[in-house]
Amino acid sequence: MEVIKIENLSFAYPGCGRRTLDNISLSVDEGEFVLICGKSGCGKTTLARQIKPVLRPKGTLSGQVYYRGKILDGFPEYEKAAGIGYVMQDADTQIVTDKVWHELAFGLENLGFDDRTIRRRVAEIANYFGINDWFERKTFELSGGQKQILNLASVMVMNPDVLILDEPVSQLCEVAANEFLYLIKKINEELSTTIIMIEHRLENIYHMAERVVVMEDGRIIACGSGREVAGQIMENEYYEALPAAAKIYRELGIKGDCIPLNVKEGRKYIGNIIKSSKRKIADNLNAGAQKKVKPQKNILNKKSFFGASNDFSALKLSEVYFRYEKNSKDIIYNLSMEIKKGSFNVILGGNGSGKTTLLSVIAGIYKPYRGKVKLFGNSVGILAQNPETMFIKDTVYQDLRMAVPRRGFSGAVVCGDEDVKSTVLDTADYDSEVRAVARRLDIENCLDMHPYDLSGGEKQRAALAKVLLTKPDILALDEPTKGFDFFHKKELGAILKELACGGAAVIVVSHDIEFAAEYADECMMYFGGSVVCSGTPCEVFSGNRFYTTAADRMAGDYFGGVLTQEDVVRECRKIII
Amino acid sequence: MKENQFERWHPFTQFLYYAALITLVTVRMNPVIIAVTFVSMIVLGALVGKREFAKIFFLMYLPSSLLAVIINPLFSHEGVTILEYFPNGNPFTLESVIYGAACGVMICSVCSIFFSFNIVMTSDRIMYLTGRVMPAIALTISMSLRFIPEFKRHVRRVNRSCMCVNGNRGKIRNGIAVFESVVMWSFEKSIERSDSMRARGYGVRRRTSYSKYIFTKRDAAYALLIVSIFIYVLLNMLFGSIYSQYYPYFKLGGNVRPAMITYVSYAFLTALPAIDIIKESIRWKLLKSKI
Repeated sequence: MEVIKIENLSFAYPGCGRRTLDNISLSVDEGEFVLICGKSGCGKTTLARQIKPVLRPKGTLSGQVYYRGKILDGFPEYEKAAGIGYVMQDADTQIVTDKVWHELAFGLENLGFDDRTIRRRVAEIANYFGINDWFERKTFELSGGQKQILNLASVMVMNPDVLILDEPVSQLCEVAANEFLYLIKKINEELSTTIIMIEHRLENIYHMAERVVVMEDGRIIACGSGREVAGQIMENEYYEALPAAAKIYRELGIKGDCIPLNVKEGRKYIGNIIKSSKRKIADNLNAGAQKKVKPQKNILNKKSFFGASNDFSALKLSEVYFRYEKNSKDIIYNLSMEIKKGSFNVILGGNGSGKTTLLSVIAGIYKPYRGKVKLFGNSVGILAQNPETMFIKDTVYQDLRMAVPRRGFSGAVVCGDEDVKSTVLDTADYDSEVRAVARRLDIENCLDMHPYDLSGGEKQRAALAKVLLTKPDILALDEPTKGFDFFHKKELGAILKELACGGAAVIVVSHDIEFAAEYADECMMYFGGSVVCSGTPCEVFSGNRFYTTAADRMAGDYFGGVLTQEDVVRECRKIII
Repeated sequence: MKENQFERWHPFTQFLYYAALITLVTVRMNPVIIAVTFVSMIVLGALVGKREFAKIFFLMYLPSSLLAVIINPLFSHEGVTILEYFPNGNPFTLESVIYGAACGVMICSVCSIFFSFNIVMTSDRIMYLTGRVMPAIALTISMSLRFIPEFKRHVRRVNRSCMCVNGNRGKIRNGIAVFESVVMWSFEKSIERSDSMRARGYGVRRRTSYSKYIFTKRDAAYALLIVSIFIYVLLNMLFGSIYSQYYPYFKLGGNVRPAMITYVSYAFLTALPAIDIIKESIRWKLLKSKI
C-alpha cells in the first residue's frame, strides 16, 4: 500500500525564477526504504520538507502530496505531527531540552499524553535504542553520535509510520555514522517503518536502500533499485558519487553478473576478472608484491617536481605533551612529527582523539607542558571545523577585509580591524587583495552576503579565503570535508593541492580515509595522543584491513598498494590486456 | 549517579521538608529550635555533601556566623545584664551576645539547609515542581538550561577561530563583534530548533508535563508526617507552649512538658532525612553480613 504519494509537485522559492522542484511524482510503499540522493542544491531537502507540512518553506507550490491515500493537508495537525517523523542534519540544534529523558518525552508531552503513557513509551524507546546508560545525562554532554541517536529516538517515540531523514549522518564520523545507519536498518526491518532518507555519502548506505531516487535540478532523473539506478545513470556525472565498487565497474567496462554495489560484491567482481584473465593468479600476486614498493617512488618523484623548497621543514614537533588540566589525562602524548613545506599532509584519527587540540597546539593557542613546537615559517592559519565560527562581521567582505594583515609604520605586520587609523596600505589595496582571493576561491558573488546565508560549500570556501588572506606558511584545516558531497570534496582537494604546490604546508585533520588516499602526500595515523604510523598513503593503508579505503579492501589482496579506484582500474587493465 | 535514600524522595515531599524547616527556624528565632536545626543540618550536610560540606562549613559558614557573634554586641547595647563597658561608654551586655550567637547559628543553619537543598533538589526536581504549577515556564527553563552551555561553547569556539586567524591581537576589540556574531548564530539556530519543535508537534495540543517521579505511599506518609509536625510546632510557637525572648533579658519560657514534646517532635522532623539515610545504610550492612 502506498503511504506517501507525490503527484506532479512543483515548487519555487519566492523571488526565484527557477523551479526548485519541477513536476515531481513519486510514490512510496509502506515499509519501503527509499534513498534520495543528488548533488547539493538539487532540491532533495525541499522535496523532503514538502512531505512534512509544518516544515514547508514559503513559496509557490503546485501539485499534491497524499498520505495514506488522502490529501496530506487534510489531516489534522495531530496526526501529521505523530505520523510523519523528521530528523534533520544538525544533531545539536534539534535537541530542545536539557536532559535526555525530557527530550524523549518532549514529543509525547506536545501530543498531550498522560504521565503513565509517556513513562511506558519512553522506557520502551530507551530500551530499543540502548539509551538506558545515558538516560539521566544532560544532552549537552553527549557525543555527536549519541545526540543524533537521541534525535532519532525522540522522533520514533511518537510512533511515526513514515520517517524522513535529512542527511542525518553527514556531520558524524564514520563509526558513529555506521552505528546510526544500523539503527535505521533495524527500525525499517523490525518495525516496518517507511524510511525516506536523503544522503550524499553513499558508500555504506547505497546497497541498504530498497529504492534509490536520484535528483538533478529539481527533477528525478533515475528511480529504481540500487542496481537499476546505477545502470540508468551510467553516463551521468553523478555516477562519480556512487560507491567505489560501482565506479570501478563503469571504468573497466567489463560486464559482470551485475553491477557491484559494496565491497563484498566488488571483491567478487574483481576476483572474477582476474580468474578469467589468462595469466595465473600467482603471477598477479607476485606482481602485486612488487608494486607495493613502486607507488612510493612515484610520489617521491612528484614531490621533487614541485621544487627545491620541498626539502625544508615548515613545522617540527618533538616529544610534545599536552593536557588541559593538571589532573586530566594527556590529550597529546609523546608526539613527534615533521611537516615539510609544499606538502599535503593528512592527519587521520577518530572523533574525540584530540585532533582539534593538536591543531591548537600547532597554532600556539595552547602551550604544551613538555616538548617543543618549532615553526620555520611565519604563521599558521587554521580553518576551524565549523566555518560559521570564523565569521564575526555582517558581510563576508568585511570579514575577509579584517583578515588582511595591516602593515604598521614600523613595517611590522599587524593583524586587526580595518578601522584602525595607522595604515600604510590604503583601502584600494585591501580591496584588491580581498577580491583576488575571492576570485580564486570562486566566492566573488557572495562577498556582500551575510556569512550565514551562504551554502555549506561557500561557507567553507569563504572561511578558507579568510585564512588565506593572512598569508599563512602553514595552512591547517580541521575536518574540512565534513558534510560535503563528493563534488565539493573534489573541488576542495584541488584547491588544497594547488596551495601545497604553491609552497605552503597543508595539514588536514580528518577521519575521511578516501580523501586522504586521494590527495595526501603524507598520511599520519593519530591515535592515543600520538602518531602511530606515518608515510605515504600507500605505506600507511596497504596492510591495514579495517582502517583503509574501500578500493583497498576490494582489491588490496589481489594487487597490493591500490588505494583509489583509479589504481584498481589501472591494475585491472594491465592484466586484461 | 548513586542517590541516597533522601535524594530518592519525591520532589514534593522534599520541598515540603525544606519549606517547613526554613519557616520554623526563621519565624520566631527560638534558640532551642535553632540549635536543633543546627545539629541536624550538620548531620544531613555531612551525609549528603560529605567532604565538600566539611570544607564549605568550616571555611565559609562557621566564620561568617562567628562574625555575627562578634558584631552584634558592638552595635546593640540593649539588655539588662551588663558585663563590661566599651571605651566609649556603651554597655557590653550578655543579651546582645546571646542574640548574636543565636543569629550566627541561625545563619549557619540556613546556609546548611540550602547547601543540602542545592544537592538534593536537582534542576530536574525544581523543574518538576514549577512545571506542575506553570508548564510553559518549566519548558522555558529547560530550554535555557540547554542553551546556556551551548552558547558559552560557541563563544569559546569563535574566540579560538579568531585567534587562529588574527592571533592574540585585537582580542578585546573583537570582543563585541564576537558577541554580536554569537547572538546572530543563536538566532539562526533557534529557527532550526523551532522547526524541530514543530516537527514534533509543539503547539498541536495542550501540552502535558511529564515527570519521571512517582509519588509512593512512603512519600505520602512522610509528607503527612512533615505537615502535621510542622503545624503542631508552628501553633505552639505562635500561641503557646514555647516562648523565648532576648531583650531586655533572655528568657526561655513555657510549660516544661509540652515544650519538651514540641522540641522533640521538631527534632524528629529535622532528623527525618538523616534517619532515612542511616536506616538504609544499616539495612544494607545487615543484608551484607547475612550474605
